[in-house]
Amino acid sequence: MALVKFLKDTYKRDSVLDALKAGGWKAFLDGTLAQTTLVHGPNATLVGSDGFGNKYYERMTEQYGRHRWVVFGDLDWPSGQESSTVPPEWHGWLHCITDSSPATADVSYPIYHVPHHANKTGTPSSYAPKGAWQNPSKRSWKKVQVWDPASAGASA
Amino acid sequence: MAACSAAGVDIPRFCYHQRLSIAGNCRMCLVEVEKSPKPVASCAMPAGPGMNIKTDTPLVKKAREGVMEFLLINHPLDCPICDQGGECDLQDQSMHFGSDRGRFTEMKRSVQDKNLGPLVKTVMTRCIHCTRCVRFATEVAGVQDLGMTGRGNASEIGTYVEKAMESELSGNVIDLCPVGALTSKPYAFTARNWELKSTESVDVSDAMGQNIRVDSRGVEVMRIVPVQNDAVNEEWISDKARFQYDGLKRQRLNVPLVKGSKGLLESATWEEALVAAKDAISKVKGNEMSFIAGKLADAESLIALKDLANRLGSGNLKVEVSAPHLDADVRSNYLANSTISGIDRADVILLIGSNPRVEAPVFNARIRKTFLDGAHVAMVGEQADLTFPVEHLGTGPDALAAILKGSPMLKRLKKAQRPAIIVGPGVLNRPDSAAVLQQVHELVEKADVVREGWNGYNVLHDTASRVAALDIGFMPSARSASAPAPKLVYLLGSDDFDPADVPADAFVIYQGHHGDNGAARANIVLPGAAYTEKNATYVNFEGRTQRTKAAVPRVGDARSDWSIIRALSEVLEKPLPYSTTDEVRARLADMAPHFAQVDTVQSPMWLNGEYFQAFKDRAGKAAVEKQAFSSSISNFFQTDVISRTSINMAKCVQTRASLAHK
Repeated sequence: MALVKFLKDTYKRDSVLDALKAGGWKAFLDGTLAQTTLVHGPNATLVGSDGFGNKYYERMTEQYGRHRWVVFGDLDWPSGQESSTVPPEWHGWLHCITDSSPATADVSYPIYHVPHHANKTGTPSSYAPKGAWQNPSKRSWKKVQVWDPASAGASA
Repeated sequence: MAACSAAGVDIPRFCYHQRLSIAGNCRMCLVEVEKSPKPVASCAMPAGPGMNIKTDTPLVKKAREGVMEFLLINHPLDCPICDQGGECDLQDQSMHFGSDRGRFTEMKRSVQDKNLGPLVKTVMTRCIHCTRCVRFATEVAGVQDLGMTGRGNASEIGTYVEKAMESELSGNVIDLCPVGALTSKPYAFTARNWELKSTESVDVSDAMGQNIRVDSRGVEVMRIVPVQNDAVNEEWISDKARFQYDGLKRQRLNVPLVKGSKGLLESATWEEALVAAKDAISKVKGNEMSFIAGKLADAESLIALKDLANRLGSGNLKVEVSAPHLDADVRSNYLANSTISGIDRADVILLIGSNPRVEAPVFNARIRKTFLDGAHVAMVGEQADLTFPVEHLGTGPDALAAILKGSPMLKRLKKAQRPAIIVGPGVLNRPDSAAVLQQVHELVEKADVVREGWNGYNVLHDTASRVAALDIGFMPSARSASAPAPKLVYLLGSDDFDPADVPADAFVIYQGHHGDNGAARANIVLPGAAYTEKNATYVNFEGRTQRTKAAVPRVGDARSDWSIIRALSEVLEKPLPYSTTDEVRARLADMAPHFAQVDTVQSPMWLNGEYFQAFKDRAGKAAVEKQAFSSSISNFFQTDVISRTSINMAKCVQTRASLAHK
């Protein structure tokens, strides 16, 4: 029963069939998803979730080292399940660096903290060096800027 | 030290500077003097008769090595990323006089950087406490902004409170700094000094004709630094002259533009533009044309335009924001007759309608020097802080009248050995300047300002083109008073023209280098060259002819200014009789011989009051208005088209505004 509940919770559907239709069937193609949803999932404790919709589970009866896992908010296959969406505070808990999670303890951020984002490689907003043609704000190598009569007419 | 350099021996120094007071705190100039138990600092040691000075003994070598080691203890090893690298006194001297190995293993001290505004960048850990900048600020610039705080290892140079330097000469501390502690903010990390091509030229941001060196790389002006000329700017230049160069890279005109059928300016070839200009010019009569020259016009283009205008039958010549009542008949009437260096010798100075701090900051520093030498300085005009105490005698012409009636100031001028009267643009640009000038002339006569061997009558101009225009006679002819409203206006780089001079229905031809008011109003735009891009002649307000040199190529399809006018004359089938720069200059010399004598002042004739009488007869009895003399420059940093487009200058204006808020 726990398996049924887990499938329903993960895919936010009322019946197992709907959950399978909503994407649960992908578990048959994606081994990782099958492991987390079908084998691991039942009877696990939901510890918390982050801003990306990732849910963090723990089940102490598992083999040590496999007892904490994440179910990604974006379960699309193969584009979703991006492991770099895990923010650093949850990363520490997930990898057993610390036992205190953001769900149980307040996290203090340094002054230079910026909000976490996933790896942007392969997306349009990926990093391009200055001067690279992919860079949208390319450095202008023109030494002299020329007067544009149209702009001046508007301001005058 | 002076004795040693006279004998041809160069002594290393950091704190000593010949135009500043002696501090003697760097100890680099140690020499051995016979019968002296210790090495002595040669900068502070007066040379005496029979003194034996040794500069290359083992003791001196050891002393220099030791001093250098102490200086380098707290100097960071960041020469590769330092803007001073390659032109650093410390770098050079440590190569020459330093030890070949270091024994230093401790930590270096670090000092917080100071914010001195948008022009001067500070890296205070590099500072070796020579205090040149502090002495410059207090002695030459006359602002008490910089100082030294703390003692010993904790001593720091800085502004006492967090504050930008409030001086028009602040950029000079960059040149004075022997290390990389004070460097130029706009120049930071843009170029290395060994990649730059240096061209000695003349500045046109004010009428003083400060001598500058334009350092360029490729087509770009990278920085502007002063050139020493004791007769003009000594070795200082104003912040506007130094930092306005980034305006040369923005809003430039690169191709001729002609107003198309849609009423918009469209790019054209030179041929099309000149033919369009010819069509417009041939439609109007000579007297219906008017020619207005801008602040930055050079003598070559002025004479070419005057010759062309006269050939077309027009005498309606004008320099914008013109001094309407000055005439070109007698040269001594519109020049600084004492000369800039002569002001040093004056003992009483009366400023009338002039604020030299904004009109010519380096000249103001010179007057300040004269003041420090004991001269009495008084002013009539708007109250202004000239960086030194000035006796303020009033604001308007009534104060002038009071002096004439016999005030202590008149007596002081009479008693003085070399009295000087400086008439500024605050007088010249007034509508009633003819009447005020008569008052001034009366004062000159009464106070006996012009004597044997001394001419104390000075006129201070505010724009670089004014004196050359007067020398050439680029001014309204007698007939132009009756001229109808112009149907065609030719603007030679004129952007601050009086709107009344350019009627709404007039056809406007603009020739210049920046897109601004003039180009926006124009029907035809002819792209010219800026002062760093042409070999041109300018005359400063003491009558010194000086030439700029082209440092960088012209932008796009632009041409040298006089050659555009020459080409236009050819198209109009009224060709001007010169086709090379030398021939134009020969024409200039024909017109006024001093144009042939570059870098000299030909002292003009003084007509002993005859001229004043003639001026009075011509101008007649005019009423003097009550309003106060106000300087023509309200915003020092933005006066002409280059400084208005400059981002550096805009930042300066912002900083000043925030300072005024506090």
